[in-house]
Amino acid sequence: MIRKSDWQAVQQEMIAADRQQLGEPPTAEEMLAYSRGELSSEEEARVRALLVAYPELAQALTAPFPTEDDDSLSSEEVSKRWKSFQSRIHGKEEVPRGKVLQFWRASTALAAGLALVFGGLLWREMSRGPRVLPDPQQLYADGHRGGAGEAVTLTGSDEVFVLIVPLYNPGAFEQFRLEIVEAEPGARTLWRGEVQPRRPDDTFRIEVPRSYLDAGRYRVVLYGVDGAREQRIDTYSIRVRR
Amino acid sequence: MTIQDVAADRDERFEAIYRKYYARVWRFYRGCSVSEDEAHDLAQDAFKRFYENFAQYRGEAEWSYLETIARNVLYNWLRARKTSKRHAVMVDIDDPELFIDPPAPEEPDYADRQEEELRRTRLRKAVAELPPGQRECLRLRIQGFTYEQIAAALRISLDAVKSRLRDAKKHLRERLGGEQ
Repeated sequence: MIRKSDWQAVQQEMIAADRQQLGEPPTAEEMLAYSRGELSSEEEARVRALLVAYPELAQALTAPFPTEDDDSLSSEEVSKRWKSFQSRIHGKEEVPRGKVLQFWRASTALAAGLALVFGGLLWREMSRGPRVLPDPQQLYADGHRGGAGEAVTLTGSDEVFVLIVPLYNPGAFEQFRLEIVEAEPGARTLWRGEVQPRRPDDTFRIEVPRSYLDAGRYRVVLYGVDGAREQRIDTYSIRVRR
Repeated sequence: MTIQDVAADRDERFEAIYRKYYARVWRFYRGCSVSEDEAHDLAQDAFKRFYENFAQYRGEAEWSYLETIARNVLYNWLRARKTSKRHAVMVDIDDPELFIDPPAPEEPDYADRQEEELRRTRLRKAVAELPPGQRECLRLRIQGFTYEQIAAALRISLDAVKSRLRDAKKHLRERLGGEQ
């Protein structure tokens, strides 16, 4: 007889195989477009298959929003959170306009661990007094220089890579967000930046601790942000050599 | 009204929204199997996004606006985690006879392992034979989704979900015979 454990094992195998074959989960933008029925039939089928491969996303899509208040959180607890929120917004964690993006926070447990590495490295550097940063390295959007396959090679022996990410096609967006992802299909998102305003010189500057990136290929991904909507604008391939 | 007055008014309106909806946003995340602490982190992230875009907010239904942001924050978070550790398979499809789970011996011998592999091979094959639509419904059902959730996730009608699951079960019964 087929046992419960058989179903569990086979389901996990199918999930792993699907993820291998289909790659990354859909982006928030794709999820939003999917939920609004704005995708082509091919894209919709792809997202549907990905939702089966990533059932936690399907759960996030279908989970109802509470419409009534209850007593799950006391007003004291909410006040405590509000205080914490205010210090986050107005306190030292705020990233002012035009300032170098720092890896002060990441969204995942994995990334959070890495963010600590970032933070530690950056703090250590800053604690030495005036920082001497290496020459910045200009990135180029895939397709803007020699085709999508050509990556900027990051070299040098400094502790930090300083990357200049140019904004080519802002469209109607005034706010942006950056990510660093591994280049191969199905790869992990290593870092997810906060929303940033457009800068006068149309570039974004990122400091990446060298120890954070092993030798290999990565992509910096630039999103335009408009309220809750995010749209991928450009990707910038990079290669790290040791 | 001075710029400072406008800013103060804006902050006051934002605080009112925060206090009104924080617990609901937090509960939404908890309802998605997110731990208490992580749900607080995500709720703060959602409100931060809302705050960053508050200038563009035109006073429409704040709950709807916040819901979109909150879901996006969750999508991004899940996308970055890319794991279903918290979402262990539920396997509670509404046909209990499909799932008979006698206590397994602690140390399965070679014959047991062979038998187990044989069962799983047959199951894999039977599921793989299903048309994609039926397979998608079945897999979400096995994962513990309700019919309504499956319909919403796959953007198909409730009747289509029922029909596909019925056909899928029929196929599995035929293929697995008395093993189901």
